[in-house]
Amino acid sequence: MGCLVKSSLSALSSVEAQGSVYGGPGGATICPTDLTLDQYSQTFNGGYVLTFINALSGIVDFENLNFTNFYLTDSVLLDNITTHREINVKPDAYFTTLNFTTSGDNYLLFNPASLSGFKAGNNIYNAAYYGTTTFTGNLADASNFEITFIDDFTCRVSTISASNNIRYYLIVTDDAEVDNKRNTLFVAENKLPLESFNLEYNLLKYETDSFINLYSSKGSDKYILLNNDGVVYANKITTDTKSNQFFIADASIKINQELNLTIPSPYNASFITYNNDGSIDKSKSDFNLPSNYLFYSSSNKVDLDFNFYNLKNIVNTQEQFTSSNNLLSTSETTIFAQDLRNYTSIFSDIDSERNETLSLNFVYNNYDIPITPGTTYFTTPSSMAPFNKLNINDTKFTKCGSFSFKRPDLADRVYRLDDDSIKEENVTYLCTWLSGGIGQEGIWVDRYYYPDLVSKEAAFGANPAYNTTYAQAVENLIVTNSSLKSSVEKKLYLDKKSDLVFEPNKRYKYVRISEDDFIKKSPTNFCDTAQINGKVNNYYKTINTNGGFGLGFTVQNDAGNFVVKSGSNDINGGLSFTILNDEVSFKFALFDNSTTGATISERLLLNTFNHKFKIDKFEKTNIFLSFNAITGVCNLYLNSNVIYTFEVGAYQLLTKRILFGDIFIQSVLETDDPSGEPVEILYNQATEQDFINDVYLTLEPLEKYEELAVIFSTNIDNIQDMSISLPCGMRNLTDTFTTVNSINTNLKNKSNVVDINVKNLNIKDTSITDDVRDMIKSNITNALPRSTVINDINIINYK
Amino acid sequence: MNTYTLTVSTTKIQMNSEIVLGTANLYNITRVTLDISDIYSDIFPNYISIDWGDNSPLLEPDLTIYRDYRTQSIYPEIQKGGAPVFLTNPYKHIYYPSNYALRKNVTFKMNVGYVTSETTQLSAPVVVNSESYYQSIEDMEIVGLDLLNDANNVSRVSLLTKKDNYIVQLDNKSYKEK
Repeated sequence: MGCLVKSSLSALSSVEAQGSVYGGPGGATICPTDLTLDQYSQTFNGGYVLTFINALSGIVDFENLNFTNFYLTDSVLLDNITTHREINVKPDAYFTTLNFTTSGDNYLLFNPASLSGFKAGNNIYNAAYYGTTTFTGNLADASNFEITFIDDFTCRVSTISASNNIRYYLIVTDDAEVDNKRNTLFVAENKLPLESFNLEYNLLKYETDSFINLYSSKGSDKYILLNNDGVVYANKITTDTKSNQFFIADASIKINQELNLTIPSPYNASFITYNNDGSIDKSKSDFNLPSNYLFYSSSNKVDLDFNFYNLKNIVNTQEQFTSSNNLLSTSETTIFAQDLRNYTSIFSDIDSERNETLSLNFVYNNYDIPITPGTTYFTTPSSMAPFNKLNINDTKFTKCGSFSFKRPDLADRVYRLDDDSIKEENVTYLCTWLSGGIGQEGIWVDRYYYPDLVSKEAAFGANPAYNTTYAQAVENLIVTNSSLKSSVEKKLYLDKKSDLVFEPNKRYKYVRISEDDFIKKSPTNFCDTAQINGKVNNYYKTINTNGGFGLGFTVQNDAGNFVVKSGSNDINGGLSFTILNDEVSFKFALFDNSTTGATISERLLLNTFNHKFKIDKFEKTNIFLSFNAITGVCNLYLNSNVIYTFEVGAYQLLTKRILFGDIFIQSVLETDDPSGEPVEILYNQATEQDFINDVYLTLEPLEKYEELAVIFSTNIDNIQDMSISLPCGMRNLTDTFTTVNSINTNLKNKSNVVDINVKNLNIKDTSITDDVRDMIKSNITNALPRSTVINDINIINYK
Repeated sequence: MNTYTLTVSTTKIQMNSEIVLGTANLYNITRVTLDISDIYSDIFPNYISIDWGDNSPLLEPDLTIYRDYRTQSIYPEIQKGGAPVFLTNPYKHIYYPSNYALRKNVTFKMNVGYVTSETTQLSAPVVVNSESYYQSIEDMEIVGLDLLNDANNVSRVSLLTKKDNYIVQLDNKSYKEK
């Protein structure tokens, strides 16, 4: 029977469904197998069927390109146009502690029944099968319970006693209720039929915390399980009692497992920050961000298989993921990148048949400036729409990673180069710098100084005159009050909240701190000279004269047990680090001349400080000790953290010696007994011997900033580049796919790739047909255009 | 895409009853927003299930009771009062018209269970009407054409509908081979 063609259109049909979405309309498939495009088919008069695919509605642009069709979607969540076949992950059971307080520690504890209650009935043997409820504030002591879910409403709560291996279920007793309450008990599994252990439940969520409510029905009454003075009771719920959501929240039992009953689609674009332990930091992550997608499908396949690219809406123009959000963004979350690019159209440009490019135009509202450690000059964009000018404190440089410090010379600084507007009378503008503690966001402030009174270098190095809690009111007070103003002017330098503004087409300079800055600011390392001159003797005398020292070293990964110790005389004072396996014992004994009347060792003991800490020899371990006898403060750092600090009265030290000999290193046995020859540490460093390297020693006390500079220069491997952004109005930019071939699903039909079909030859001997193939291949290439590629030679016989 | 908001409200007296709502007439593909913020919640509803009626899976929302104002908008609570979050959240669902029939009749069902064991059962007939070609498409313009020089001359016409801007692709399937 022939095919009757009713009309030209009826021979055509929109692409048919592959599968079906929930038994409803059919759906074309998409590359990830658990994802289908939302769509529906409709049959119209005349018998033709059109399939409407939601993703292809509101398409921004469409391009028909050599057998592949491209569709650029609007900025949407993938969830809005696809259906993810989500899996219900509700487990059969949970193993968890039960915390009966929403904020605090009140864990349910299984308590074996006491014998006394059973003595009267002369059935003590039964006591082993019962238990009572009690609570503990200590998580380690808490009982673990197995919550078995039977259906959407019913569960059983049980625990297995470690002492007798019996499973006990939590039940509500049938005893008559007193004051609307019933008792609860633990009953062994052999005492009642399984159904008797059923409780009802519902699950609640608050952020990532999960809670369960437990109920029991007795006749027509319903009870909820509550902690009542250290015992679990079942309280009757009536319509008259307060039973709203706050009541439920009070009765919620926190479980230590996270409940995720429904898994959302994993394909939506998200910006995720991980904690050091690998978990996701939800406060620093943005989930389910709208994106543009590039869908593409082969145009000559019988089924409509789609594939898609998730486009880079969350990277800046330098292809970096950055924490600098779009300054113009009106989105709900403002900390992290989203909507940085908005793709608007597809632009295809075919250079040659084998080299096709597909470009995607996008609109970008930020001008990105890559900043590397050191000095970067940049010119602001010609338009900063929607702003005319932008104060530096309104930018998001700090969120991008600008570095704050308490001194301008160790903080990030910005200069406006072609500006003469911010000079105050009598004072000179020095720079704009980010003032604040390390790791804080800080505030951009302008530093002014009096060049007649103070040098530029000194003004750079001074600690802030500007407190970060400063308010505009204070500034106004100073400016309007002549006496205050004059007293302020007596200072050599001053900081005020920055007036620096970014205006279109102006030159600026950004100075990002570098590791070298810290190294320059740390006092000269005495070891540098030691390496040249070899062993140096009796430097401890210089330390005693100067009143302090700084000692730092890196423990080698393969170091054995050793001690770093200062030499001593009869007094036996000084410092020592004893490294035994992964434990370090620090001891610093100071001898105080002002103490009298006791033995020397007793007097020494009055000012002996000990601290033990653990190190991981497979990680980088930098130990740094800074002692300043003038202030009386000693800080011990492990890597970049202060792990131990002590203070001694500064006056005590004026008349005494800090160290009694140079510092040496010596291997020790497990028993702490010395085993090798002591080697002076600088000599050890100079001759590159064992145990430690990167020895740092100063013979003078360090200022706090110098300490930090040393810590930074030894522990920071590198200071990262960052990318700052300024508004620039709407700019068009292009994102390019260089090889369309790779996403072209049908190479066979490209014009330069051909199949050769040899029809009706009807030779069944494959050795002959193979010869024919070889002969054609070797001879035909000369007759074909050079760009033609022979894909295959098919020999087709009679059917 | 058409939109329709189905608003459901109950009172304390209706807690243990079956409520049949009026018929919802939908035209063509429609995104239905279910607003259940006026469900009686002075007594805590500890179970809720929504059956859209079109064979989509039963929706049992997580019972989220607190709103995290750092990441969620405060407006629903201001507009609709302090109901639990899972009631003030709008639930959205797309109803598709029948592939072949003019009308598709389904029944929307919802159960609300309270901690006091009462259950409110709600249902609403939903009629999805298929619209005619002119109502659902209006006009089409050709945006692409593929003519493949293969054995069957497979061809594909890409069209853009005037209504809702769908790209629809027609092909001469009578020659297609698997």
